Parts: sequence; structure tokens; C-alpha cells
Amino acid sequence: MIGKRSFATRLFAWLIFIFCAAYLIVPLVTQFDYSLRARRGEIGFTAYANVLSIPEPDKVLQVQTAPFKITLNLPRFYSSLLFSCLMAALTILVSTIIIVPTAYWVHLRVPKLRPVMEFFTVLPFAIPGIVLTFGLLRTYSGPPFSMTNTELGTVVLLVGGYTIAVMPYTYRSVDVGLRAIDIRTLTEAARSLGAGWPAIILQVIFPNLRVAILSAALLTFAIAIGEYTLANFLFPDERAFGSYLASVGNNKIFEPAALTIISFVLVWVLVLLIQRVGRGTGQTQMTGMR
Amino acid sequence: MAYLELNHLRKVFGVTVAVESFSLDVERGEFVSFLGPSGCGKTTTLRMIAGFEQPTEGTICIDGEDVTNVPPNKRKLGMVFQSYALFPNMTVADNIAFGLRMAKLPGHLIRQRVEEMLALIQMPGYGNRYSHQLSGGQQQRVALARALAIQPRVLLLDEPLSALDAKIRDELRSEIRRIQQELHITTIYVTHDQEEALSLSDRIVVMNAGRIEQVGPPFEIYNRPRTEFVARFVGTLSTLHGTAGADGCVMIGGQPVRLAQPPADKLPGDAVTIALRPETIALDEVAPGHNRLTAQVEGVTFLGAIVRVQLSVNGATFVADALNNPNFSPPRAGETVTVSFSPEAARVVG
Repeated sequence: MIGKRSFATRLFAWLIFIFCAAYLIVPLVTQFDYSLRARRGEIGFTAYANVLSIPEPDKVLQVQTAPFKITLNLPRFYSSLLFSCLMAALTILVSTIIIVPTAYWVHLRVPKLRPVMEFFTVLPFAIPGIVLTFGLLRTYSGPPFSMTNTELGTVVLLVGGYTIAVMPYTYRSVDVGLRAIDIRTLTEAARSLGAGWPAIILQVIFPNLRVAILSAALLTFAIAIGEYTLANFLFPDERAFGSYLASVGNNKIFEPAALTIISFVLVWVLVLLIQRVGRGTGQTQMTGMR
Repeated sequence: MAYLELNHLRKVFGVTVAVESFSLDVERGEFVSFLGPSGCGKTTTLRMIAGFEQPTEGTICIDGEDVTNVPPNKRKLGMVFQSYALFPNMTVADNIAFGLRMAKLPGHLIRQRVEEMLALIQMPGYGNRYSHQLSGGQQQRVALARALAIQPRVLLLDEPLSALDAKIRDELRSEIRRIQQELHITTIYVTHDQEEALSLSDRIVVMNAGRIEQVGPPFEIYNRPRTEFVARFVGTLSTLHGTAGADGCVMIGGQPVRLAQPPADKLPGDAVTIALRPETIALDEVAPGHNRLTAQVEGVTFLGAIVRVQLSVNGATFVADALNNPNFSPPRAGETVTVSFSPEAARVVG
């Protein structure tokens, strides 16, 4: 009886697994197959070549306002990817600088505020992206801020918007990391050894949250690189990768499929890279556990 | 003027008084233990000395300097925690060097000091290991070295052996005492383990409900407890209920017991409780002038070096400890034995 039930349970588990795997893999395989058929009657990488090498000199990445003095003449795939990577990197930097010390302080000094923090950090889930975008535009595109009048101001607005959008992922990741280590005792140990707050955060807290911060960075990168709404409204010249993807999707036939596969591979390479870096001293977080 | 002065410390958390009227002078190089049950305020007092808790009232002076309002990172105290609190991202050497780097010492001095500390804790060659590659005892040794590396004015240890198994605990206990005496460092040690406190300390502060019950050397604390709480908390104590008899005697189960200090405020027939340490009761011989009680053996527990015998006199139970002697068979349950103890061994506690 027990054996039969066990077999049925295992069979059911396998069926679920196969169904989920098929749900994820079949579209990718069909996309990949479709992306290889750009030339009638041939299987080849023409669509990929079109995406990666078409020179479009009129579409260049031009961010000429301080602090960026970059003028590159690249195929749009690269220029948009580069622009979005830059925005993603800035978002990672800003959100890390804001979220890690905040979450640390809440854990250490005001743990009662943790539910409040959790509520605020999930708000971006509840507020649709388009509402956030219009809210930001309405507030910051006119006096007294008028941030969209300058390139730098628009970049700041974009990075700010991304920082809010990724907050649920960043905060949660850091929160989990903080729960895994005894930050109170580590902080007190560092304090008793003469460390001030900056030294504690930079030399004790950040290194011990490395895996959590890397996970948050990966999620931030994946979201920022493909984000469309905010990027398209703030940079209507389709400068961001998300806008470029949408544009290609609207105007080409086989290239969108190729772009999907390229984006997918890019993200997976990043995942593997982060996992590898994280595994390097993965033990660091284990030994700090409560 | 004492090296460490705690003057009328008081700490209140909301409506709970954690520490009340705590005053203590500690001399330079002295090893003082705070001993008491959980929640008695010993760790809170230690944390006030460290600067992690601000006293509600009172002052803390170290070497003549009032440090009550000085932040913990400016007090130059070393602290060892129960959970080791080694920085997991750093090697053993980096952990030991952390405080020295914070003090901005030159690199060659830091390296030299780290080597000295590793030698002190008898772990040379462990500098490049990470904390997860060490046993609990080794981690605590490193934590001790890290706290000592900065040459602290006072070393604070918050139940440092509680997380270790018995054998390692004994080893490390001796190690802590050796290092403390070698460096002649003023040390405050928090523990709820009476054996630790008795074996390590120059003086013990027994605490209960936020207050000091008694301060004194281990011998005095154990042998001359001033309150019933101290008597019960430090060591094993048997209490026997009886009545006051004539001539200052106490009648236990109808048998007279003479005391060195008879109950002065009791009238004949009043209820009296006396306390006895198990090791003061002899099972096999009756010395002249000692009290004798005929008791029933309720049970015998073999503890290795000691044989603990549970006895009863007309329903009043107590225990007697005898050193294990291979040539002497302990009594069996149900037997009637005569036990004896000196008049000085029994104290009136109620």
C-alpha cells in the first residue's frame, strides 16, 4: 500500500517537473528554431548577424552631459546594451548604498520597524510601473525640479526609478542575508575593538553580506536591462535596451527571436558568473550564522 | 582609588529594573566573576562596562577616568562573547589584527603582535585559516587573542565557555586563567556556572534580581555564604526542617543537633531550618564532638570520584557526599546509617 502510494507520489512529482520544464524550455527551443530560419529554406545565424553587426551610424550612444563624456559609434544592439548596463550598474550602486545600511540599522537598532520596512519595500509590487513612471515625470519634469531638462537629470531620474522598482528584491535579499548572521554580536565585537560605524559597515557588514548583495545585484541587473516603461518615457530616442528590444520586435521578423535568445544567454552568463563569485568564499556567510 | 570603579549603577528597561545599586571596586590585575542565575543582571552590568548599554544611573571609572558616556570603541576594553563573534570574512590573523588596524598601528607591529598572540593562545601557524576551519574551542581562543591584542585596560568575558563541550571547557578555563595571570590583566568574567567562578576568580560577585548578594573570595563565598540565596546557588545545599529545642539545640526528627551558632531568636518549639553542605556530612566515622543523626538511605548515586547518598530523617531528606573509596562499599537503599557532622557545618537559614 505504502509502496503504491510512494510510486504514485513520485510519478506525480515527475509529471509536474516535466510539465514545468516543458513550459519553460519549449518556448525557448521554438524561439531558437525560429531565429535560425531568417533565410528561406536555410538554417543559419543570419538573424543574429543582423542584430549584432548592422551598423546604424545615426543611432549612436551619446551621453554628453557631465559626468559622462561618452560618444560611441556602435551598432544599436551594443550601444543600447551598454547604456542599459551602465544604468543597471548605477542602480546597483545606489540601491546597495541605500538599502544595506538602512536594513542593517533597522535590524540592529529598530527591529520593531522591520514590518514597516517590509510594507514600504513591497509597494513597487503594488504600484503599476506606468503609474510610477507618470508620478516621477509629473513630479520631477516641471519646476522646481525640472530634472528632465538635462541629460544628467534624466539619468538620475531613471536610476532613481529603477532603485525604487528593484527595492522589493534588493531589500529582501539583504534582509535574508542579515538574518543569517549575528550582526548584533559582530557589530559589538567590532565596536569593542575600536571600530567606528564606517569601518564596521565597510569591513564587517558588507563583506559578510556579499552573497546577498550579489543576488540583489543580479536581480537588479536583470530588471534594469530589460525595463521598458520608464526608459521609454525618459529616453524616447530608444536609447535603452528595453526600448531597442521593443523597437526590433515591432519592425523585424526573425531578429526579435534572436534577441530573445541573446538576452536569455546574457542573463544566464551573469547568473553563473555571480554564482561562481559567490561560491568563492560562500563559507563566509555560513560561519557567521546564528 | 580602585582601577575599575562601578558606582551605584542602575539600569532600567522600560518598567523592568535589570540592575539596582551596583557598586564594586576592582583592583588592577584582579579577576572578578559575576555569578548568578539567568536574568540576574550580570550580563547587563558587563555590557554597561563595555559601553553597549548606557546606565540609567551611576558612573563607571577606569583608571581614574569617567567612561560612563564614552562610546564603546573609545573605551579600550577587550570583549569576548559566548558566540565567539569572529568575523567570518577574515582569517585568524586578520581577526586578531582588526583592533590593531583600527588603532592604525604600522604593519610590521601588527604582524609582530599577531604572531605574539598566536603563540600566547598556542595556535602558531593558524593565521591563514578562516573561522569555519576551526573548532569551537579554537575559535574562542582566537576571540580571546583578538580581544587581548589591543592590550585592553580591562578584559570582559561574557559566558565565553558556555557554548563548548565539557572537556574543551575545562581546558580553556585553565588557559584563560594562565593567560590572565601571565598578562596580569584586569578581568571581569560573567558566568552562571559556579564551578567556573570558583576555580577562576580572585573574587566572586554573586548577583540575584539585579542586586549584589555577596562579594568575596571563592573560599568565603562557598564556606561562609551571607544569604540563603548564596548558600543555595553556590554549591549543593541540603535543608533540614526541625524545631528549636532546649539549650540552643535543634531537634531534627526527634534527634538533637547542636550548632556553633544556635538560633538566638527562636523559642523552644519554634520551626527552624538548618542547612548542610553534602561534603560536610561523614558517613563512615563519627568524630568526637560531632552531631550524630540516624538516617534512612533513600538512594545512592555514583558520580565517579564522589558517591552521593540521599538520606532521610523522619521524612526530611538531605544528601551526603563521600569520596569514592574502592575499599568501602557505599550503603544500599533501605539501610539505616549513622551520619555525623560538626556543629560548625550546620547553619540556621530559616
